[in-house]
Amino acid sequence: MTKAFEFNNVAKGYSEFTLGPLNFSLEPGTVLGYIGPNGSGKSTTMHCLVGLVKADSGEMRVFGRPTDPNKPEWKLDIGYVGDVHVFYEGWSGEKNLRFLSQFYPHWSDQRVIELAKRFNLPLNKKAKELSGGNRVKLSLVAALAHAPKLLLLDEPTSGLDPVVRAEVLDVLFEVLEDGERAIFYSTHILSDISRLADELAFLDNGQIKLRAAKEDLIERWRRIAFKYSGNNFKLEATASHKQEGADHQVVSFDHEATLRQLGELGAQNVQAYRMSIDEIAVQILKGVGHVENS
Amino acid sequence: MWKILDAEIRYHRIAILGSFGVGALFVIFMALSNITKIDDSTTAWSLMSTVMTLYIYLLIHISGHQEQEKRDRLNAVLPISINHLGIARWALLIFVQAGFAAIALAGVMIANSFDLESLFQLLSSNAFLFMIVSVIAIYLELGHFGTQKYRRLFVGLLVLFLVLISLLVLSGQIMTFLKSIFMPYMTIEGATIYTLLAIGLFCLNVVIFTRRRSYLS
Repeated sequence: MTKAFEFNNVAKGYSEFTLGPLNFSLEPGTVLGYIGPNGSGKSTTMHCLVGLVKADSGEMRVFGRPTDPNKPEWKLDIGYVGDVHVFYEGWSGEKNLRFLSQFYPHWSDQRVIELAKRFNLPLNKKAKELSGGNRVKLSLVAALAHAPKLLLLDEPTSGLDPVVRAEVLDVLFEVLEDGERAIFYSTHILSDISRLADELAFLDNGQIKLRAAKEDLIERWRRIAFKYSGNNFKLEATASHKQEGADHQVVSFDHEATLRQLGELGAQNVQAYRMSIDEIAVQILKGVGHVENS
Repeated sequence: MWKILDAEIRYHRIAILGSFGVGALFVIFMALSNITKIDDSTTAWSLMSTVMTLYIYLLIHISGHQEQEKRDRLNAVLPISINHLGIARWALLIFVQAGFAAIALAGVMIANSFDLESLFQLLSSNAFLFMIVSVIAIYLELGHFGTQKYRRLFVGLLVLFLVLISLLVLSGQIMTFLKSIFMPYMTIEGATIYTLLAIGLFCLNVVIFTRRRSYLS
């Protein structure tokens, strides 16, 4: 099956930061959460894919088509909500959308009306008069109105109140219903992505440190507490380890392996707790060296 | 490409129509006042065309440079080729120039002094203006290359040019030099050369835009 997008050895260097080389892809119908701290390269990855920034090397494809800036048909398949929301500032939201509609054969005015109503977006207001949240909504309407096969969302819910955030996520769930559309969603609000994502990719300092299915992470990661008075031991598959006397607490990225080893050591009062995606993400981004071996 | 140009014209319609209106009113005033001959009318009309075009360019492109950059960011995401976008963002200037040239030509004809020299002078004036605008634009574009070396090189060439001019002034050769440049101003050869140079700089401008490392405002 043709991938929604592919990165092959894509790299982009700045004076104090280098993104990549990145090698990853996304299947249609999949939501990939792209998680990383500020400055890790999330937006740069999006910018490269959508053509706002030229990569120094490598190749990108969208639904099999190379991202050639002079053969822009690949952009027809993309709906993009960026980290900055740019419009013709002196025009109303409606006029901006009418301008954009000319470029997309599958644009639906009906869809625009429906989404604007759902988001409670005043389309008659000039773009420069819209609040930060309404600018995000206008970007979302523009990105969704032509029913793109690939949605690139760069922190789309930042600046939105919880009600609208929930509404946006509901709309994104609907987008996914036909099973063909893919979403590449960068965020550091993990509660959003934990509802939506099938897979998570963790980016740190321009490198993808780990990519895994969300369910797999939730299933494998545990916080484990136990008592053990011995000193000379090293536990497998752990991302962190705290000790106070005989009380130990570890974070395991393969709890079955860790529990098996604890059983062999004869540890007492062993208790394993499920972890939220937020906690797992923090551990991954903090304890990268261990996680790479998972 | 035409969709972008159409949007830019509609977006700046008040500035464009206002300026065209002022130019047209001037022509109508002359017609109603039965002014059929003014001193050195070709120069006057060329000057008007040039100054008005420069005025509207300054109004739209330089004072609104940041906003233009934001629209470039919006447009760079759209499914149009980057070459077409590079041309479209400057096509507005060509449109404005063509409008003022038409008004200026109408004025020259009302002044009853239309001849080929008027046309050549008009072409040369507009070409000179275009060259100035392109040089400014190239300097701004080079700022998007992620490195300052091209900008420094460009400024270095401009400084070298100014040094050469200064040397010509000091050696008393400046008038000879200026005459050699401006003598063909009203001839077909001069108008052709200046227009070709302007087109060359315009193309260079478009090429530099398409070679940008980033379209982030």
